[in-house]
Amino acid sequence: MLEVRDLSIEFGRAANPLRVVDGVSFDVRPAEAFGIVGESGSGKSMTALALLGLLPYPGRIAGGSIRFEGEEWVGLSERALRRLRGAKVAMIFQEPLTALNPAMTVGDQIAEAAQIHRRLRRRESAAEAVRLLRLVEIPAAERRAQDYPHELSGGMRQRVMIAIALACQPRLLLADEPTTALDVTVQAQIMDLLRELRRELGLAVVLISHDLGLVAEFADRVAVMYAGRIVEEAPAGEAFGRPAHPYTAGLIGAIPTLEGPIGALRTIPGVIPTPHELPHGCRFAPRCARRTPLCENGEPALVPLGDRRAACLRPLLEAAA
Amino acid sequence: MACSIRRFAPVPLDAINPRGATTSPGAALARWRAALAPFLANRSVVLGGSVFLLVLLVALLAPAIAPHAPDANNFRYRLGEPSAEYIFGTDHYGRDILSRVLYGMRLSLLVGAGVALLSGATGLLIGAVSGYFDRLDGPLMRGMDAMMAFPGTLLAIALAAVLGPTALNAAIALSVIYTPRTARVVRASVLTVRRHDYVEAARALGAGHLRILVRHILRNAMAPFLVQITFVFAVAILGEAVLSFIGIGPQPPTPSLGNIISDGRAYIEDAPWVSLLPGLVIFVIVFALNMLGDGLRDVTDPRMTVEPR
Repeated sequence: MLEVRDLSIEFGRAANPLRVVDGVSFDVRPAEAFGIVGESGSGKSMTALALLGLLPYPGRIAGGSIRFEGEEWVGLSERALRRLRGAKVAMIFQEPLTALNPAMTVGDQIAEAAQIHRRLRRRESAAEAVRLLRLVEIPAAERRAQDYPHELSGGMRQRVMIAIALACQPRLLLADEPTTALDVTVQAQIMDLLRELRRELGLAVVLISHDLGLVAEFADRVAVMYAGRIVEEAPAGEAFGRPAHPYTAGLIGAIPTLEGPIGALRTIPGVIPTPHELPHGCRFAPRCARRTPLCENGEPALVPLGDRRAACLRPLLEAAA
Repeated sequence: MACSIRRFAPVPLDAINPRGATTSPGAALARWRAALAPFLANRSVVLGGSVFLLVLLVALLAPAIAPHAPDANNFRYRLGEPSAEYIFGTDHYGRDILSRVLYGMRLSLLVGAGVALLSGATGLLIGAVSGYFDRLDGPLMRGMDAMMAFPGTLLAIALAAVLGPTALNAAIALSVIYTPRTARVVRASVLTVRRHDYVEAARALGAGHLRILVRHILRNAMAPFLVQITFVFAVAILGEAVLSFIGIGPQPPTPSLGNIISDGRAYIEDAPWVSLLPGLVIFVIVFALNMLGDGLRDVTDPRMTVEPR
């Protein structure tokens, strides 16, 4: 359904660009839950914004292709993109309070979203707003529709955001850290809701998060991003059960466990490089325990490795074949 | 926690009123009251607002409360001192000052309101467009800067002189000179509001420029604009007085606060009461509006509040 090929995103002047996303490729199949995991600065949010043509100035797509249901989106005019945004691919944002208009009731905001791509009359869209509020399991939907965002709790606001995103019946939902601003119990409820919606509506979801546990539970497949590149892509269980890339393994190792002795938290030494100072060769090499002199010669390509793809010269697991 | 589309089949339209409401009017009232509470708790808003409302009421009721017709002369009592019949005295045609001031307030307030609306509308349009469309920002704002580089009063005098001395033309001239300031205020708040996530969210839904600008940005950029409009109302009343005083505002015998003061100018030593009352009324109106504007700004933008001494 969604095919991203060699997507690169640059900031700054054309003469001296900063490449924050470099040659990213992945597919999302219909009704699939696809996870993108990475630290802050790994380029995951920029990738999501680029899909909708919403890169903040002066960011731009420097190359590659984004095809949705066979149609190329890179290079489309703003006007053409506007017809696709929300209608085909909708996005839910991280912070539900600031992503809702404080001066409109939530019912009006959902109704407005419904009017953008669907020729609904005012009455119909108001009824649709209430229906969507019920769909995202907000109790007393008629009454809540009259509330302003500040009158709702964080979890309710995120439900409203989801209702707004669903208002134009998109085929793919981009969820950029949808639960980061919420507390853990509410987070679980929102993820349950997304799971239900996916099942009921046949919706594909791209979940972007730094939270491995969240992605592991939710996604069918995950891509792990590091410094603007995908370093590993695998079925979710595989990626977290038997990571192939040392970076993925490091991330998993850094999760504190409930069992075993209490020790210092395990970390990956060093910090993620900024786009100005990318190391030569493999971007992860300076922090990698398994590096060899060869790793500094060139960037390893993302190559198939059994049922997954990994960009490493010495993956933790040898190809099954 | 189960969710089923089938269970939540579309609600029949007639089951819901247009706003999807089942709330009682009492709840709506309570919400209004809650929204107004911070304004009613502000002393400047309450005092300035009530004085201004009183002024409006008096002006509206002028025909009922004026003791004389505004243009009725009493030639036996010209430049008459304040007396029982003419509480604030008479002018050089023997007309009752109080009655003329009451009618003059109507015209001055009308000019003030007209300028507030007209320069408000153009300022809102120019400010919104230049705050939102980066490419138009430079040209529009340089244009506004050029207008602000002229001394405002001189520009208004020139415009009013070209257009001809009527109340409407005075209002147009004053609107022209007050537009740039309003445009700047609107532009500044549009620039702030457009960075918010909900603007990005609306864009991500495929909303067009007009929808984003009007429903998401301007709706949240109104407070500084309304404050500014209150101040424009006040300075426009002063501006009208200036234009009338030098004879290019609304022409006698139609009374405006400015031209009554102007009438009294020649007799200021023998009959100071002619100019005194309209001057005081202008002072009260402008003071009340400034107070109201200050109060509104304090309530809507807490960062500007000066701690009470």
